[in-house]
Amino acid sequence: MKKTVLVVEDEGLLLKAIEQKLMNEGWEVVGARKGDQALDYLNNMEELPSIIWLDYYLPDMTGLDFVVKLKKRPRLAKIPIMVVSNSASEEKVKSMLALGVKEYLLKAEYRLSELIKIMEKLIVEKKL
Amino acid sequence: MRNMGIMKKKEEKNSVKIKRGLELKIVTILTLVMIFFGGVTVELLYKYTTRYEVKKGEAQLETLVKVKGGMLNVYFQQMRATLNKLTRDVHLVDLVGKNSRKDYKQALYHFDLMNVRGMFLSIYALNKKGEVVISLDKRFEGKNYGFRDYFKEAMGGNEYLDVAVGVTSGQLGYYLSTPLRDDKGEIVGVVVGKLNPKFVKDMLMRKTKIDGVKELLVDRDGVVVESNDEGLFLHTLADISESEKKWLVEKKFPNVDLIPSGYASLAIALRNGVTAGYFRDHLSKGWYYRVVGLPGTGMHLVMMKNEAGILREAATNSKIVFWVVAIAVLATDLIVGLWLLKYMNQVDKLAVAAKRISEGKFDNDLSWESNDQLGELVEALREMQYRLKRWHQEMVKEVKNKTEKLKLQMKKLEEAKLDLEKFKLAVDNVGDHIVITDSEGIVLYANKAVEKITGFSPEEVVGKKVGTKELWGGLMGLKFYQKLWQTIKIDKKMFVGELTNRRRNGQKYIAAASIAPVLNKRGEIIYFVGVERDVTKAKEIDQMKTDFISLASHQLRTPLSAMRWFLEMLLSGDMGKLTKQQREVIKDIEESNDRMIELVNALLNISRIESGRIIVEPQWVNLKELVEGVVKDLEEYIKKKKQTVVVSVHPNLPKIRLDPKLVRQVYLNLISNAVKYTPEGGEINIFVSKKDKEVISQISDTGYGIPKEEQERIFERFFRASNVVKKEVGGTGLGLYLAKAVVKSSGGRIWFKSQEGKGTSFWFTLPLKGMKKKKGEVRLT
Repeated sequence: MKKTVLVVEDEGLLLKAIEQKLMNEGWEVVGARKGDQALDYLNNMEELPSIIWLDYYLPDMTGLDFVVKLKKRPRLAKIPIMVVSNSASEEKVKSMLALGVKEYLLKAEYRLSELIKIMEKLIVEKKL
Repeated sequence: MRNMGIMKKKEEKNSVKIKRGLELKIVTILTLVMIFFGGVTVELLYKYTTRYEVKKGEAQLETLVKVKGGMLNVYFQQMRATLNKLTRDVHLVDLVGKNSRKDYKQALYHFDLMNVRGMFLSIYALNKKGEVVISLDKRFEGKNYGFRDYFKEAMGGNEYLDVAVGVTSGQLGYYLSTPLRDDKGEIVGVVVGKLNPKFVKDMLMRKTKIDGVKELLVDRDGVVVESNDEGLFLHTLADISESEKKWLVEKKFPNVDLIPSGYASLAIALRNGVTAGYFRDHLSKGWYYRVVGLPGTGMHLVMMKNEAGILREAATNSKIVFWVVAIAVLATDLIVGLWLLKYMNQVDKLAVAAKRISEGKFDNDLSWESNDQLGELVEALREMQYRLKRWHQEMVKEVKNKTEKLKLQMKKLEEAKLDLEKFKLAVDNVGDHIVITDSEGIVLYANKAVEKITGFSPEEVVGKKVGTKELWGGLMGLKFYQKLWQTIKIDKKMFVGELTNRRRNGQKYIAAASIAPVLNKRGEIIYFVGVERDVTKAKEIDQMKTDFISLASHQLRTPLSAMRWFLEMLLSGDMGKLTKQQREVIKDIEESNDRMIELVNALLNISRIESGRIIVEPQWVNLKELVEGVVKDLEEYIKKKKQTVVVSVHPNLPKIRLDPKLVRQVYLNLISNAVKYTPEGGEINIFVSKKDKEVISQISDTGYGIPKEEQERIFERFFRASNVVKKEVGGTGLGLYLAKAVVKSSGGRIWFKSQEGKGTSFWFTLPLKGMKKKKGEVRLT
């Protein structure tokens, strides 16, 4: 089965690393560097991604705004979201988890391979 | 010394003045008493003497009047007897009765015979016609004395005595007459004997010149015919009328001027037959008198004595007594006075000594003796002086001591006052807003900072209630204030918190406040002291710091993450196969990158703990599981260093409410340090036990140890011991600092023992009651 992921990451270098690693691992990757851009993609994609990889701080909105907007659309609301950010204040974590975000992870703490494993776990959980 | 003596004397004279006059008083009183009793004595004596003298005088008069009266009676009876003898002479009877001249010679012879002693001035006989027939004095013969009472009375058959002044002789005479009878008993004439008044006079004068006794012979007509007082001779006793006087002169006292004697009262007494008494004369002189009648003569003999004379005598006696008394008084005064002077001198000395003692001078000479009450007094005073002196000395010592103490206390007090002033100055001028209120929250004091922060001047503030909109408060909602009052007023504890207030100009600010009740000894609230600090700016800065840290962490972490992930891909061969050499270099880079990430995390954690924004969320934690989890996480590392780690946990250790993330951090740091700073093959022991109300954890290693001189600094930020820096490149110098921060904020302690080259043991405690929940913003990473 084909694994699709929408990666929302404003930092180009990171996005490049993530895309490369995921593609190496056989993932279909759609990268977006802004919140609006990501929402656009989602609206126009025929097949929705299996999971969304989301950074918190985006140039045009916060991860929170993005999730709120996403959750407003029933078609998109069910996509599991994994937040990978370098900013993880309790407030942010709590509000994001409350909105249905599956994981809130600290970027610097994880290797890419570990993050991919977590995504795979989340996708399996969703299917169950 | 001599000068001092003189000065002392002078001082004595000035300071001790003794009032005198007791002697005078005593002598005066004594004199007055003696004069009184002496006077009474003299007076009584005088009265007694007077009475005695009067009685004596009266007795004398009595005796005199009896004796002399008796003598006169005898005399007159003898004279009468002599005359009566003549009446029995027949010659005389015949001569007178029958005028027989021949009998004349014989009769005259008998007359002469009878008058041998010259008792009569003359003897003569009168016939019935009153003619003198015969007389010793020839001049009388032929004269007629028929007018005389003595003739008339004798012719009446009575014997009679008449006192009269002779017509012929002009001399006073006592005419004694008796009837001459014939053999038939017929009265034929009268025989008259004119007595020689000299004899009467002699009798009266004898022994009566003494004692001021006056004697009067008074005839039946109240005329003094004889007296030892010449002045009374031929005076009338009573005051008589001119006709009486004329009659008396014609009849008895021719050519005599009868003058009243002034003894009218006596005349009345005589008339009334009073024989003894007292009267006053016309000059109001008092007289005591005695009277005796001379029978057959019609005369009275009066003896009288002047009262003044009697009194004078009594007075003379009394005068002697008076002088005796007066001399006695003077002598007594003199003796008593002299004695008193001597005694008072001693008393003065005592008084001076007593006064000087009262002035605190105890050097009085009280050595003299006197075996009387005064002596007792001297002794008592001496004893008193001795005791007072000792007491005074002790007191002076005591006072000195007390004064010293007092001075010391004053000094302390002064210092305390200075301290207080400093304190007040400090409170007044300190930057924090300080308010003191009473137990109801009414402001009593506000320092300068209050005005600076709130805009309300101290004058506006004092007297108003804090925590209301009247001042800067009242913005926090009822619940907040209820909690505040509950804490400080009911629980009587300090309230610490942040609150939003409003300045006078309406601007809001955040204040960090601590409000504490001040209790008295009975535990009652007397004041509240509120200290507030305007933390608005600090808050802003804090926010900026927070923002900066999150920004920094974000910014730092992003490139670190990128590096990490690219390195990961390189190493995992995603970018093509690496040579062995390349691979090792990239591994080193990855290790450095990891350390940087670790450092950033540690920095973030520290800033979180220090800023107090860390969240504490206690849960029931099983420490055994937690420790074992940590060891498990480090398993790979431990294996690599071929070390043994032994974990021993107290079997009955209960679950404790702890924030697992925080506690884990402590164990992680300590255990990973132990692993890191212990050479390969070393041993690490972990004990978790319980003691009293604490859980004690011990992490011991057999590692490099900490150099002794650096042990003090081991908990400092970024400090790394010199002996390990060279051996282990990794390490931020923040692990122990962080561990200590967590332990301390949880109410525990942390310490260690270490010996270089042998190993190190760390201990830390956590209270069994666990950590307190704390709201915050961040967790540890």
